[in-house]
Amino acid sequence: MQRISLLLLVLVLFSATAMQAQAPKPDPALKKLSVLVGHWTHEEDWKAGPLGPGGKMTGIYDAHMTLGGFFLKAEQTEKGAMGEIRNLEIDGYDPANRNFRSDMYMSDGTKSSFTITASGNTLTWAGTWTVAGKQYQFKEPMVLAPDFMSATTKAEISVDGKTWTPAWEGKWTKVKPAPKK
Amino acid sequence: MARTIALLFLLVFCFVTAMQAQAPAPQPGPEVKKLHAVVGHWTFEGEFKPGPLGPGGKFTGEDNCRMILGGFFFQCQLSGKVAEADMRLLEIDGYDPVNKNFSTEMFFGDGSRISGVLTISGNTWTYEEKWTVAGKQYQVKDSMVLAPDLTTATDKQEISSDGTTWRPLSESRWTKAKPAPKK
Repeated sequence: MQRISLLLLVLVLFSATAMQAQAPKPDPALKKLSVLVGHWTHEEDWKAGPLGPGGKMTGIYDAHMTLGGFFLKAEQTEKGAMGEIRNLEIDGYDPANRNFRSDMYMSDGTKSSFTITASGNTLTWAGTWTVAGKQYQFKEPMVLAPDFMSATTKAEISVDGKTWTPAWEGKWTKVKPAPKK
Repeated sequence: MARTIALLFLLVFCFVTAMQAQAPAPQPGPEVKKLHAVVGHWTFEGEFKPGPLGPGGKFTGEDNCRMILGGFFFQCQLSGKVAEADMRLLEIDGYDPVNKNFSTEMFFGDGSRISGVLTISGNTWTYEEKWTVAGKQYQVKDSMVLAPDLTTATDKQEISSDGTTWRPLSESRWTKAKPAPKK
């Protein structure tokens, strides 16, 4: 339960009048993330490797913009050969590095942070992923169809950042816009 | 008799095999239960103290806090007003077993985010954060003291530009209105 922080301080610092006249607006770059907004289903084929024996997984992914459109919040649930995996993802724009930061909270208690780079219709998550207390380098490009209603993913992991092993391949389908909450 | 023993053996074998095939889902450690104390719907009111960062001002709002992701993480969604302007933030806290404290992250309705450390000692929650405001860095300490019945709390923030000299930043009072709505 946190208290009042940066936003309040900024408001007080610059005075309410000024803030009301010039409310902050989300960076236009966030439109590149907004293609994820909606209700998705996906099927993934996890490969045998360091993460386990592999197998089929199916899941859902619900994403919506939050906090005035400055962040994307997504909840994902997957079930199948690798058990049940749930996560909460918060993505926001990093103007200093001109990419996106993705914070991922997992249902095993771990938390990982990634960068997302957007290039054309491809969004690529990359960074250090903690699984069962072990750290892996991770990258997962998601290639969206021109109508943004489907996508394919290919995730790879690496122990040393040099040798990469396929982790899974997925097919995503947008079923409908995210339900309003 | 031999058939009974064989059946028992088969049952035990099947049970053990089934248990091995379906490893139990990980469970949150006992430390995470400390976060349960503030799960619920809170209202708050307080004020910023006049200081080098501004003239101060009153604020009010509400905060909805609940455990998420199997109880491993604690999420609060805060909304309110300061000087007639809207404020919103999302806070997510989780236990850090390496450092034996809690990590806290806040995402604000102006696009900014802050990471910090939360320590819980008895009924006192202390957040330590680094803020960057108008290009200048500050350290902020936030101490929240819960009443014994866990339905009210007081919160005091202090700010420092050098980590040595601390000034009061804000004081607020919190009241638990009701349990968090189930979603």
